[in-house]
Amino acid sequence: MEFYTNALAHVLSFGPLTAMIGATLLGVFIGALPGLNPVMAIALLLPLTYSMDPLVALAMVAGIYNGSMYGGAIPAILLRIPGTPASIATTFDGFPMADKGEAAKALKIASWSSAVGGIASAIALMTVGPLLARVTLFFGPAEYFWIAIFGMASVGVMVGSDPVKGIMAAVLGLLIGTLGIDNLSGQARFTFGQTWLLGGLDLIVVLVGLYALPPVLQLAEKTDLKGLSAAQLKLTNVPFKPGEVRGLIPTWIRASGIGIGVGILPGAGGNIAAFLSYNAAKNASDDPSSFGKGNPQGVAAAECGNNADNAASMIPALSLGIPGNVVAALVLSALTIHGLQPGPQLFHQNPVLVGGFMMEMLLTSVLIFALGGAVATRVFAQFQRLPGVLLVPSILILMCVGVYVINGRPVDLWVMLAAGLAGYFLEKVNVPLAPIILGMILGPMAEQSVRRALLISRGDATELLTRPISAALALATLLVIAWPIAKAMRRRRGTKAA
Amino acid sequence: MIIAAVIATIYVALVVPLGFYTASFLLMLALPMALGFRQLVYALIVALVFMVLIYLVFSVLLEKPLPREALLSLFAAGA
Repeated sequence: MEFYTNALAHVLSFGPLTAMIGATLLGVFIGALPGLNPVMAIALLLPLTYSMDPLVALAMVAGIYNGSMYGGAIPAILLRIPGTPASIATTFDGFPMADKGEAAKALKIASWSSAVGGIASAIALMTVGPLLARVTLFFGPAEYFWIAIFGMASVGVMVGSDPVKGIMAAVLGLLIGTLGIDNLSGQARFTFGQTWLLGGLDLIVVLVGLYALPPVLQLAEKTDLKGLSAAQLKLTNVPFKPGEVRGLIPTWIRASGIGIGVGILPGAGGNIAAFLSYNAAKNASDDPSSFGKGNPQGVAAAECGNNADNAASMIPALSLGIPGNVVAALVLSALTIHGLQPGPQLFHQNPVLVGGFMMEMLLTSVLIFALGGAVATRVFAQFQRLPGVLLVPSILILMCVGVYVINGRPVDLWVMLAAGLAGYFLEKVNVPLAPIILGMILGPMAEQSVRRALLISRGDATELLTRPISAALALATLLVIAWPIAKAMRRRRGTKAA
Repeated sequence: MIIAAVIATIYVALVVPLGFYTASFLLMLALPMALGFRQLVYALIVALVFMVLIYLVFSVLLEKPLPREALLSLFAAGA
């Protein structure tokens, strides 16, 4: 408990507080604009946080993450356009509600459900995270090596449609991660005599390119010249009827549980949490046929589910150092920027920071209650009148400033551009981008641990497999890779028999 | 997409020689036009507001050095 009271004292100071409020507002705004997504927003934000206090930087990440998960519901309800991929399930009942003239009520349910889901998820993070971190006290370099490999393998296999492409992406990330000076021997690798490559490619530079440029190019492809008309955005506040909130509680509990479960698993994201919660609410309902026709329960389940995914996805990231999704990877890179080693040591070395970040995930969820009123939402909705083509250059400029201020090197701009164009084409051929980033983060961690483990064992590689925990982790990695292959084989045999 | 990618490349190439604000301002006007946006005044207003915002955040608040403006040194040389 002291862990959290201590952290809370640091969080409730001027810097983190203003950062949380500002970032949550910004997050709702970003979520509400179709084409902008939370990952891109956090990637753009990270370079700016270099000079900030780490707790302020993490407050902004938490605010944008939670805020944008709710913000995606605004266009999903008003226009049947999901603001983020995670709000697709919100359109099912949200838009029919708006059609019946209950748009304001749907938005209010969405904001309350988002807040409830976020709070439940943050509480799960605060209880499970430290427990899981305690297990890692028994970890040596051999275990860290397997943890890193397991992280890459599981995300590579589970993100995206094709496990082989996912693994390929992870290997590409590993390759990028080896560029630059080798930490143990001081040897320069793959630098081709270029001095600017000695430090390797900056993670954030690649990240901004990879995650911000493809959506910008897609936005340019759509060439939205008009934006929305004012008539589509009329809203008035409606208070809840007595008993209405109580009716939503079972749905909230169910959706929170599902969201948290999905969040802990690596690979699956907010959109899956929202779909599963929606289906669960539909199956549990006395009247499943009312779903899809404007049932408030549907909105509550989807929005609660996608926000419950958020903080829970930080559980493996903060306690084990395995980011389960890209936002978690971004949080880990935010920590690296501030010179903190992501991974199991974090809890022991920086309790205030880890506890503070968990607190911030909780507080920004509470903030969504306040921001979800019709007045605030009406303000956000106005921004959707901005034509998409004007957003394209704005984001490009933000990307360039962000990348330039990191090192003040023009060459980084070219790296960013190249990474972005590569990302655009990789996405076109269904190669997921998340494993690339994870490979870049986890690759060096895996390499250093395996070499340290071999130094300790005097070059005896069996040491990597004979310790009990390392053997279990190796087995888990093998299963993660073998499982989708076995599934594909069985499917093939099934079609042959039929 | 190709238009946007080409213009983005030109922007990255010009941002250092021209200076950050000059290049960015031109981008804010040129890219929407190239994509078929025809309300020049609207684009101009959004560009101005956005540049002022960027200036306040990066140059005033964070005091980050950005590529220097070629136009400014031109004026300085003339004076």
